[in-house]
Amino acid sequence: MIKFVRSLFGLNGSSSKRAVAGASISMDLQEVAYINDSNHRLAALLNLYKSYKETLHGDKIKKVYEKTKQIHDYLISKKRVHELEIFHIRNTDNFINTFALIIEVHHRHKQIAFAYPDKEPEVTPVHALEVHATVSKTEPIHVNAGPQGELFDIAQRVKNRNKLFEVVSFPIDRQIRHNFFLLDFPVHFNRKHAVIM
Amino acid sequence: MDTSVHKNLPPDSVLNAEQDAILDLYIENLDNFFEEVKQSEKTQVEIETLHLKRILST
Repeated sequence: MIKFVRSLFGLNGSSSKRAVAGASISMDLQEVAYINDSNHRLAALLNLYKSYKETLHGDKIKKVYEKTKQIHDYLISKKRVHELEIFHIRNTDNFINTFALIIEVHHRHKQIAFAYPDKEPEVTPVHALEVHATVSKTEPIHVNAGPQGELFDIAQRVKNRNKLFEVVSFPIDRQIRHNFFLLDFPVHFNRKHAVIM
Repeated sequence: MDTSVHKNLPPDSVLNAEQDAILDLYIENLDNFFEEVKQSEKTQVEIETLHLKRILST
């Protein structure tokens, strides 16, 4: 529409790069889109800062946010929106990708370290021994399938543990395996063991 | 890349020494960019002034 009006006055061919002082500068849709994108990137940077806030590097990420915002504000005030977009593509996008990935990987590693505090995925922590004893004492294993059954008790105890990712394993037979399907918690089977996560 | 200044990061640090150094470089890079942008603004003003001068002198 703007283009059409401009073309009526023969203004369409004028170089838009040359900004003459006092001339009204109309923003076309592309520029509006660039500014929106730029705002989104600033928001993403702010989020990144929030996730780094508690770390040693929080202050530096904050600096990056502030300096990027400064550039953003300056370029917009000078109507140099296209340059702003190029700046973001070359810098901000890569920065966000890299440092978001770094902290994501860091969190994932921490979770794994939490799941296996001793680095050794030993499948018999204290609780597991208890469960194991309970099961093997009742030889031959007779487990009631219903919610009042022994298996249900075991499952409840496993469920109520503090640590979420602890691994418990104990021997099972086909009957128990079948009964497990009646309970609603995640359990994995290998050939002779049930492993409750 | 000189990372010697950053070697005292604790072991539970999220960034390793190299990544921390990159972060510093990035901040520096933003400063440089901002300076360049401001400088180019000045240059553009000079060019426009010259342009006008030439129009007037012909």
